[in-house]
Formats: sequence, C-alpha cells, structure tokens
Amino acid sequence: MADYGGLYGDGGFNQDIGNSEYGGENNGSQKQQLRSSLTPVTIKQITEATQPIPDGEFQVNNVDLNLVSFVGVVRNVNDITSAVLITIEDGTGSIEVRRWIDESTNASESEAQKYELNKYVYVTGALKEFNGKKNLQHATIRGITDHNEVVYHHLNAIAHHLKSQGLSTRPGTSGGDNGLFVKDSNGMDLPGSLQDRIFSVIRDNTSSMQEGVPVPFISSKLNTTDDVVMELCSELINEGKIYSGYDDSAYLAV
Amino acid sequence: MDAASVRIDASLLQEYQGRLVRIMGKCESFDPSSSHGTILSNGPITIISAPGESLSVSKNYEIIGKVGSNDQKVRVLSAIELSDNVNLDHAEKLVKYVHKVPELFY
Repeated sequence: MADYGGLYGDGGFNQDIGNSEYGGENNGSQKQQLRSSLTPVTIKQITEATQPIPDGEFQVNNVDLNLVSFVGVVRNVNDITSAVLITIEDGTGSIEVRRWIDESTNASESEAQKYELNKYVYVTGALKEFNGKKNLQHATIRGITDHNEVVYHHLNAIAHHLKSQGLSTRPGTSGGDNGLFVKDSNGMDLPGSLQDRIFSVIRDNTSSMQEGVPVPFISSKLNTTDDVVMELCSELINEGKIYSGYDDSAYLAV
Repeated sequence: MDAASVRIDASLLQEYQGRLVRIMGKCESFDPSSSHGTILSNGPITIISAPGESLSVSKNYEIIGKVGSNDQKVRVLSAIELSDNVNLDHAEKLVKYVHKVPELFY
C-alpha cells in the first residue's frame, strides 16, 4: 500500500511475496477469479458481509458477493460537487452510494436531480471496502416504475441465499445432483410403465452413448427381453420420443 | 431512517406492537379530516397518517410506520406510492418468506 513511488508493477509483486502467509503453492488459489455474475441481495447482507481474503470476494452466510444488486428507497441526496452521495434504504439497512461526476459531460446538480427522494431505485455495482466502510464501485442506479420488481428482487435474494445454503427448492434433489452425471439407478426403482422406464433409460444414456443406447443394454437394465424392448421402442418412435441410432438395435432420445 | 423496518402484513400486527414496520397494501379508505385510513394487506390495517399528508383511495402504497403499543394502528412515517399493477398476492408471499430467513432482513 505504502510504496507507490517505485516501479508500480514491481512494487506490488514484491509486496505480495513479502506478505504472503501462505505457501507458494497456495498463491494460485488466492488469486481466485472474482465471479462476475450479479448477486441479488438485501442491504443487510452487504453491511454484514466480511472479506476473508484481502481484495477477494465478500461473504455472508455462504453467499459470495462481488457484483451485487439491490432495491431500496432514496432517502438522501448529497451533492459534493465531485460526486453525488445517495443514501439508499431498504428496511434491512442503509448504504451510501457514490456517483462520480464526469465534469466534461454533466454538472453535479443535474446528476443530483436525477434521484428523487422517497422513490424506489434499483442499484448494481461491485462491492468494495475502503477504510472499513463498504461502498459500491461503478454503481448504476435506475428508478423503479413497476414495483413488482421490489417484491421479485427480495424473493430472488431469498432464493439465492437458500441455494447457497445447499437447500434446494425441489424435493428429492438434496445436493450432489449437479446434472453432470447420470444417476446410477438400477431400473427397477424407476416409476411408471415399462415403456416409460425404457424411455428414461434411453434419455439418461443418450448423452453418453452417441451411437444409440443398445437394446440389450436396455433389456438387461430393466430385466426384460430384447423383443419386448424392441416392440415398445417402435411405439416410442411412433410417438416421436426416440429415434434410431447407428442401426435399428440402438436408440436415442429426442 | 437507519432503524430497520420489518416487512409485515395484517396477520403479524399483534406481534409487532410498538415496532417499526413496512407494509405493502392497497389503500381502501382515507379520511383527510381525521388522517385515519385503512390499508388492505392480507387483511385491513388502520393507519394514522401525519397531518397534511394524504393517501389516495385504491392506490397501492408501501407504508413505513410504527405500530401502536396498545392498539394495532400504524402511525405512518413514510408512504411510498407503488405502481397500480403490484401483485399484492406476491407481496403477501414475500412477507411470509421474509420471516423464514430473518438473517437477510432483520
């Protein structure tokens, strides 16, 4: 921080090594790339967020915060010539957002006039901390005209928070099901008619068997005969749910 | 305005007596002479607005106010007019969920 005098790049680099409490091999994980997706939050989450790694992502209750969005009511607009300070409150807390003034294009008064007191606004920006105070970099503020947005934003923030706790809103998918791996079900547990079960075996394996899911594979999974599978598969083809793969003894789901 | 206000509706009034609250609802009636009015938010809520301030009937508002400690009337500190298309059923659901994740709201 202190050594701004020397070569910029060199100074920063040396300092990193000097201060490093972590082993050399950890340096890679330390320099994690910040996620650049917009996280819907409440202001309380912002004020309570902590930064475990300097210049890293903020965290609150397992939610990573980098780029955040929130809705709130403008409570104070303070024109300090070089910038406009807008105090925004959402019932869970309040935060001051700074909009810098580009002198060449607009005056601070016109910027300040954009923000009406007691109106709902939608704010986005990159969360940073400076002198122990949270602030938003590159903040954008726009007025809300459809107040359903307020309700939806809060619901969105709740949903995001709950997902980060590892809770899923869908029953029966309690963690681990990240969609990349085909479930190792033995066929007998699958619900529905035999035709439905054939279809789900084909569907589940379509991505891994590009030339088609072979009939013997299906019949062995479902403890039935090839003939039965062939017959039901031709019905499924007629329904347009599956199609033949490399030849007529292997099928793919649409 | 730093004090947090908790999002509630008519069903939670009793629990929040004497507290600062936030209510989304439709203005059902307003009498300018007495500054009394009714807001519908999962049930009727009697509000007392600041003298000189008035609400328009059948508009949606978000009221920030204090619930009386002995009655269940809400003294309005701020009323924000909301757009007419606000889905109050969704707002009602929001109130329900807000109280399930207090760590995000109060």
